Amino acid sequence: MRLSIIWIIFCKEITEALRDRITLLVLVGLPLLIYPLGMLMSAGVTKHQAAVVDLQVSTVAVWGEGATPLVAWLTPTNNRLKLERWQDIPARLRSQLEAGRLQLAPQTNLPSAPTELRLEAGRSLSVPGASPEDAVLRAARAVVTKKQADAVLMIWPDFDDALQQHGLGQVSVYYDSVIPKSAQAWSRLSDQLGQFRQHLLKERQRERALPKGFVNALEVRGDDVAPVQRQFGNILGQGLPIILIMLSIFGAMVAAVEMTAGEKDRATMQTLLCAPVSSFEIVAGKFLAVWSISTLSALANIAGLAFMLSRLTAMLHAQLIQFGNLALVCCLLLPATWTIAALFLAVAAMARDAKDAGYFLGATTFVVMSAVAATMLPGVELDAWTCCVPLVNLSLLIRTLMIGQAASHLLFLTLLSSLGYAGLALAARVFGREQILLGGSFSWRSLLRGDRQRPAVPTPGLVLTLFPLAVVGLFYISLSLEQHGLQTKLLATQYGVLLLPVVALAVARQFPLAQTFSLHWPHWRSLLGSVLIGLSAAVAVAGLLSWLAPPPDSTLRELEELLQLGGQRTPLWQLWLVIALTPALCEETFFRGLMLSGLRRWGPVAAIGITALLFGLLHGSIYRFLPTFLLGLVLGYAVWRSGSLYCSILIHALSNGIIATVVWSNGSKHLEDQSVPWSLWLGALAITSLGLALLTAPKPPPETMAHRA
Amino acid sequence: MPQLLPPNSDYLDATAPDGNAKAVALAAEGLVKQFDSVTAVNGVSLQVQAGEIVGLLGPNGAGKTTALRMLAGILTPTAGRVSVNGLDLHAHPLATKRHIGFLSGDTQLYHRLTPREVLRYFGRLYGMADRTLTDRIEQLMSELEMGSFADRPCRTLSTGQKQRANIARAFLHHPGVLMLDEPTAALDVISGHFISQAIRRERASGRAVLLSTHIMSEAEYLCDRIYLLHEGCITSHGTLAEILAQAGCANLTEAFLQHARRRLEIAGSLED
Repeated sequence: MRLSIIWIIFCKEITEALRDRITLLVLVGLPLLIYPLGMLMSAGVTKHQAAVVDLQVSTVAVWGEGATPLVAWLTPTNNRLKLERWQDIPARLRSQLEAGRLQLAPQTNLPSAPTELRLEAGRSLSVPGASPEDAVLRAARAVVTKKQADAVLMIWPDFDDALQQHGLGQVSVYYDSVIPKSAQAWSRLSDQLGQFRQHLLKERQRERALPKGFVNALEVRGDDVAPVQRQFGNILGQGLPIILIMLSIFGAMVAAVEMTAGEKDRATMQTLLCAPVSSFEIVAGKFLAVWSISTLSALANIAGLAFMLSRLTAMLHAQLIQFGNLALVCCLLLPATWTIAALFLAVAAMARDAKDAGYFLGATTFVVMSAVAATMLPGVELDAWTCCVPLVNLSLLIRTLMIGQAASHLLFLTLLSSLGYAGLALAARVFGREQILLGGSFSWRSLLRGDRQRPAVPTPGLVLTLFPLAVVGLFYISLSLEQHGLQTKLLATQYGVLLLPVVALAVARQFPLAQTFSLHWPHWRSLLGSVLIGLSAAVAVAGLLSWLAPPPDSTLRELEELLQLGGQRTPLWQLWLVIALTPALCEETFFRGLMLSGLRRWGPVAAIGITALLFGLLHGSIYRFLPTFLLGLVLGYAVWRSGSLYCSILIHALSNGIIATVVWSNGSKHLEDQSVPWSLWLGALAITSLGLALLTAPKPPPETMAHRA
Repeated sequence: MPQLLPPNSDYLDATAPDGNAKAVALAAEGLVKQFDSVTAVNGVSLQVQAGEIVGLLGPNGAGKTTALRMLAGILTPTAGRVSVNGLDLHAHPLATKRHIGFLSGDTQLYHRLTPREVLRYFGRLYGMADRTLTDRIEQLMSELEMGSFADRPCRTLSTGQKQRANIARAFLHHPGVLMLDEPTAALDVISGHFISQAIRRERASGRAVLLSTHIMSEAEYLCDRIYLLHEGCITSHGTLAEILAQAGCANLTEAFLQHARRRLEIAGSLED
């Protein structure tokens, strides 16, 4: 892997992309235009609609006799209501009404909640849609559906008598909520009817000389304590992730199709493949280009949005959103577009030509958008589970940020898992295949089954695919074993996720086990060196850490609890078995065994560095990253130098065991109360250095040497 | 009665037309490529020496392109090995590819880049120093008469101009071995002749050229030696005169047709 080559490819891809008018339009033009234009248009449309609806007169058919005060109340107070007595009523119904033979049927499917749910005047007359099917409803429906009237106001017989005797007057309003004009009529009528009721109540109160408040009895006011910013943030946070992810998808889509299927169409890919560049470099260069374009597109969106919000802020004289949060959202876009770019590039690469790629990416977009839209469902929140679901986690995180709450540990996990999924999507396993880069027939079977000519050793693509799988596996298994205690969880994840699958894979793929896992007996000097490193490395790293970046007390407490297997007084031999030997065996087999040999072809610096980086990330905490990363470097070097996995197992077991023993023997004393004295730290450092210097290649190392050469 | 050569028989004793053994620049041994159930190339072995043009002739679907792609390191062979200037392609793919210039007839250029930019891009990928690269581009542009369209986007170029730019791209890094896959397939007579002249100049300067074509006249005009490829196997090889003598024909087209018929007969008798 040569960064200069990746950079050259990246520059060329960006140059080409930026010369494409469609890309530019999608990238910059659309977002900068779409928000202000959208705002103007929606404001215009709303205003126009409001004006039109407001000017419209609602025609209301009034069925039933009497009720003169009510009709009189309705007619002058609002000249937008046009009342038509007996309009379009079937003759039989009218005769029945005039004879007073019709009664308001009791509601059959009464909701359990009281009818008057809302306390404001108006809009509280009834729960709609609860009336049984009868002749009146059918007749009213016919009238409203045929738009002969917008609503039917039914005045039930004996209305006037009931009001005079201070009883209950009954009216019904029949309307169709689906027809806008009808809904409008209902809204107007219910307002007026509510006001008429208030008027009646006041009259009765006055006639009886009742004290003020006798009828209403209770005055309730609800005040929303959420500041405008948070309310607006909530609304924006619901919609923003979808808009942003969708628009960064557009940017990524054009670029990804152009750089994969487009190149196959023009047969330029084979020219690139016969140049002295590896397929990983090609993919990396293209991936960076798609990522940049997708990010640029998303940033242009945010710029458009920010501009619109700033205009809105000025118009409404209210601070709608903290612009700092918007900046944070910008940062979160990087992992989001990272994941999208990886996914889209991987999918587009499988297409034979640009047309195919369009279909594939359309389907992918649908899946992604459905997942992101699911975050709008109530109850879906950022937690330990959702923060591991790609893109969903980021969209939830954006929402959380817009409301102004975010938990740092979830942030870390979200970013970590996004990184992992991108790696998964981009795994060189997909790109290593020549059919995919060259075009032509591509079979899923060959992808799943592997080559006829299997490589004799694991490839970087394979081991980098394993890492995100392991992270996800670890996470979900430890979550589902939460109630079974720390020890079970630890053993299950270590053996079940790290050791067994890796060994099974190596056996299934017929990798030479001794070579893959570096199972060679080390030179005695390496053994001695490993013992020295194992005894001192933990202290050296702890000393360095307490000086460089002291972890918070809470992390230390957690670590202490882990090292004591949940705080009970566990026997020391059991601690060594579970805390020292198990991780040493399992983690070393996974990282310094399979992963290191998979990355071997990238040279020692990249192989050891990447292995240590992923080893640190696997520990899932930002504070444990640095020490585990440093330890990972030492362990990787030990295996590389000595050619033996036994050395790193020894070092790992000894360092873990020593920390566990220290914590065990501390009793009530806590880690945070202790510090590593300078003299001890320097001593440990010296011993570690001596150990590193002692490491040496085994005497007859045919395979390792040959491989290294 | 011409003897039918079994595949892989005597690729090692190939000699240059003047009879002197020269350095072997490209050697392939037992190349096989299998796509799922189809065997596209079945045991191809060949050698090309520095300063000669070797033709790989065969009908459409004979496996020429697949063979060339394997030789150029674009496809991984199912079996067999390739070495270029003594370097093993499979063991050292990147180092070996530096010695290869590859060109195919259907390759296009990046639409939105100019020929100059394309050349600069590939030159940088081949690790050429900036100064050397600029000089080399100027030299190629004058040799291939590209001055008039060097700074126009490639999508606006004519087929002949595009192929000249492609040729320049393949010659750019002074490769020891040129692999040209039907380089004149889509060109008119004038452009085709221009490209042929350029290929001959490369031979004169000591390059090894492997040329795949199905245009017999081109092969007669250019090639020092010829391999006939049919259904993934090399059926015959030698200088033009040798092949004509073996087949007892007056020209390459007849010889070619005769070989194809003979293969079919053998296949038929095997089935019986």
